Amino acid sequence: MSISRAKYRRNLFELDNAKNLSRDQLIKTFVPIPQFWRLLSSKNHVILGARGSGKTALAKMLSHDHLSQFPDSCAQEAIKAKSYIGMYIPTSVEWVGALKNKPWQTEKQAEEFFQWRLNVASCLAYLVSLRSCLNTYISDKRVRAETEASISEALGESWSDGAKNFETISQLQIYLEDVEYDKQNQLTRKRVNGKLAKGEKVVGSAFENPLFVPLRRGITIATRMLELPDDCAWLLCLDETENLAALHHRILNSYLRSQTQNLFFKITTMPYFHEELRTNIGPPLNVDHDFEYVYIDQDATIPLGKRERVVYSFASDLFLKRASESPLEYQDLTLDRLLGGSKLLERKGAKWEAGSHEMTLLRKYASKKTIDRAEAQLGKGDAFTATVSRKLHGVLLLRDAVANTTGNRKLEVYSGAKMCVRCGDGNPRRLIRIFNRMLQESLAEAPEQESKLAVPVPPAAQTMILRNFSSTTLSSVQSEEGIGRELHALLKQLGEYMRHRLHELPLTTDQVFSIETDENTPDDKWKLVKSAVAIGTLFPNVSASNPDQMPDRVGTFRLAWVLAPYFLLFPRRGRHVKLGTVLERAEPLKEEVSGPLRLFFPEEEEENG
Amino acid sequence: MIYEVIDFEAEKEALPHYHIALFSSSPEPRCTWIPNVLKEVDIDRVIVLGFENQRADPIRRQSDIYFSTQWGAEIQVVAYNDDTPLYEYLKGTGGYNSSPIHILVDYSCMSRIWYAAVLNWARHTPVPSNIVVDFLYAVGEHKNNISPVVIRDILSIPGCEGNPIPFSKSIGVFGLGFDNFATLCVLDRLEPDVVYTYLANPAAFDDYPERARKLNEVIREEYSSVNLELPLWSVERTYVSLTELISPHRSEADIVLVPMGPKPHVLAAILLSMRFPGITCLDVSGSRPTPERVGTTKRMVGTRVLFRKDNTKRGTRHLE
Repeated sequence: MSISRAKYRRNLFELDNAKNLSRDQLIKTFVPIPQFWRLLSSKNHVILGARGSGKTALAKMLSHDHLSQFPDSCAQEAIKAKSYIGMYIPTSVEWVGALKNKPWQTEKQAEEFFQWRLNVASCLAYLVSLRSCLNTYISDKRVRAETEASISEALGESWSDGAKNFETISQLQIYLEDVEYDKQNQLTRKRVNGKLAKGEKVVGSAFENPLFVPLRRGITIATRMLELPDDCAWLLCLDETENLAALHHRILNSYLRSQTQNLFFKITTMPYFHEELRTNIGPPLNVDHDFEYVYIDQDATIPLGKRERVVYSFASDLFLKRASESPLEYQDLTLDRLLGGSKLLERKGAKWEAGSHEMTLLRKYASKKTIDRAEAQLGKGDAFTATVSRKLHGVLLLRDAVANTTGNRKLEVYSGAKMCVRCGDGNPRRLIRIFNRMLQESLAEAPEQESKLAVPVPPAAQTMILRNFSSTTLSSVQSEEGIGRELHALLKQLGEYMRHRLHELPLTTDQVFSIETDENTPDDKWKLVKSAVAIGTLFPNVSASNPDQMPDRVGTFRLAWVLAPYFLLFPRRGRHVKLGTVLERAEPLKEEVSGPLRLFFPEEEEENG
Repeated sequence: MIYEVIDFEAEKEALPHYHIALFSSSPEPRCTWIPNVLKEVDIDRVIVLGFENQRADPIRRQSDIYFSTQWGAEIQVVAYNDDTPLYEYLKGTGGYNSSPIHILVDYSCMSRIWYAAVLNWARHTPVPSNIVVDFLYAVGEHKNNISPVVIRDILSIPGCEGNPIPFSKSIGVFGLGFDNFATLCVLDRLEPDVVYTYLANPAAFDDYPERARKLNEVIREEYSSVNLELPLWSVERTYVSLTELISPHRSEADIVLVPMGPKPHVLAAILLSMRFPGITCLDVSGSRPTPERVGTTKRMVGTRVLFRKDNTKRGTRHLE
């Protein structure tokens, strides 16, 4: 056996998911988005966000053991008033994997088994929050211990059918974990032998009660013994429900529809993964009446012009909070110091006047119409900025840089703090992964010293990192469950189309970086668009008036900016083109595993700008 | 109770009389190689399993004919994720009076759900005899540039559910092969706190370890804290090494095994999950546009798993 260890020691930038952080680390590095405060309410919510968008962080931070430690005045007020008690349950791949591996179950058996397991899981989640409540609301250690013993005894009576005595929450937790394990073993034994052994009792019969009855018993006992107010809302945060099957959602929906009382649900899932609204009790769920959606990938209520600043500020806070909790070499390091300015995104020093470098590039790459228009506007200050320079500055520099990248001359334009943040799409997981790669490069570049400090990363190295990250993101799509191959082909077609227009046709002031779908979009393509949104490779352009509503077949979607470096695109929403137009012009893609960019489009006429 | 996991050389040792042998018919040409080598072995009953969705494939049809003419066996068509028929076939095996009961499984082209069922049966059957299961694997030759696999499903292998109530730390142990993108997809969905990897070295060919290292560079360099290289030829050694890897974490973390590499390494992961409570082993199934025609290198990996019914607790000889 041989072992190789990773080059760099672990730090918080290597932990790119909230699940990976300890409670204290998550609390210290949590950057609340405006939507977080909407969730702290007595309403049922379905939180929609692409993979890595921070859903788990939101759900975990709502749980009492996290919120009670969060140094924020609103959070502390809610905790002090005993207004909300959050509980966190992840319906993770491995948890659901033990539901899905029983294809032999009838639908009724599958439903009952799901309810049984969710009952056990919700009681375990409840115990975590109960311990937090005891610590928060009872300061006297002796009284706290007595209360814990009384509650544990009452819960044990109910959850073990009086078969066992419990004095502590820890004993109850161990009991519940054993019940879950013994149940799975008993099911396997029954499968092998066709029946249970003579005299063998069914494991965990107390959890065969209807959904959340054991949890409700726990809530009743806690309310009585901790003297919680009548209007205290219990928030059950069910994370990663995209892993659940339709029948599981119907069971949850039935509960939401009928009897939530003081129990409210915060359900996280990916966009377009909450399509099962049916219940088992008749009428389906009614959006806005039974629950509200909260979309977190972007906040459409923030005006477009300010959004970049908000995202940059979020990313910057994320970086600083992680840096402050990481090893010494990252202390006092800022994004700007590490990555510098962005040549493409910042127009510092640009001179738009006759004979300038910018005008030379315009004449070299733009269409005749665009050149004429620019010349007509030249010298008109804001009007020229709005109609020409703002739209063309970065695009021209990108095109020229790519055209001049040959042989040993390396591309450097995908660099700078703003560019890195933009290529992370405001998605925390992507941002942290990009930051981590940049930091690794920075440490590798640093001169050998006793105390190693991070140094600025050269633009060429940043560009290489962003292009590699972009390429891996795209390549991994090929294996996505069920749709990988088709989705990868579609994204390549979109990216190639946009790349061709940007780098091979005369430039106009409107570049295409988005697509439009409509009623005529075929079902199979619409399914792919939805999947792309779910995994964060397309983003819908949602409206400020309805910021949480996902487009239903009719909509516009921008290509994720994480893919811009791979396709050599400018990370901007740009103009949209009909999806059908792209598909018609693209030649069918051949099967390929990896490789350099290829051209797929025949020569085409310039589109009028 | 799994008592012992040991390597054995099927081609050099005298094989026992088997009460039952399980083979599979598939679009991979190697599926008939081990049955052909074992033609002279004494077997009471032969069961041949065939995936339900590959019946029209020409190589599968040739294999079906082989098993029918050479072994007189009818193909039992089974879904990849269904272990129900396995328990039915094995029920009759409990009627043997001899001890131990000997079972042979050629798992070269089998669904892992099927061979896990054999292990589950041996763990839980009330028959009083000791049970010996001999697993054989025909080492395959994998072409370069196979098209990426598209994930079909991720589920726990029956009997390997562990205790997935992830309130504490989680550890993902990834067995690596040539499906690097699928591995990254699973990693993205599991999001474990700590990642360990292992790949085959020595492997079927000298260049395979480097190929696996290169393909899996991202997970190995950017996510994993320990990268093991374990021999393809020894399930026993892989089982022991993985046990040592996860042992310090057994009381403090949820451990999830994701074996995406060669089947002997998958078998080791399944055995580990069945041997120790609280360890989940996942099955990541997938499809390619065209089935990979895995040929044989004409070499075999043999693993003997002994189940004792006298409640003696023992993992492997080396764990004592």
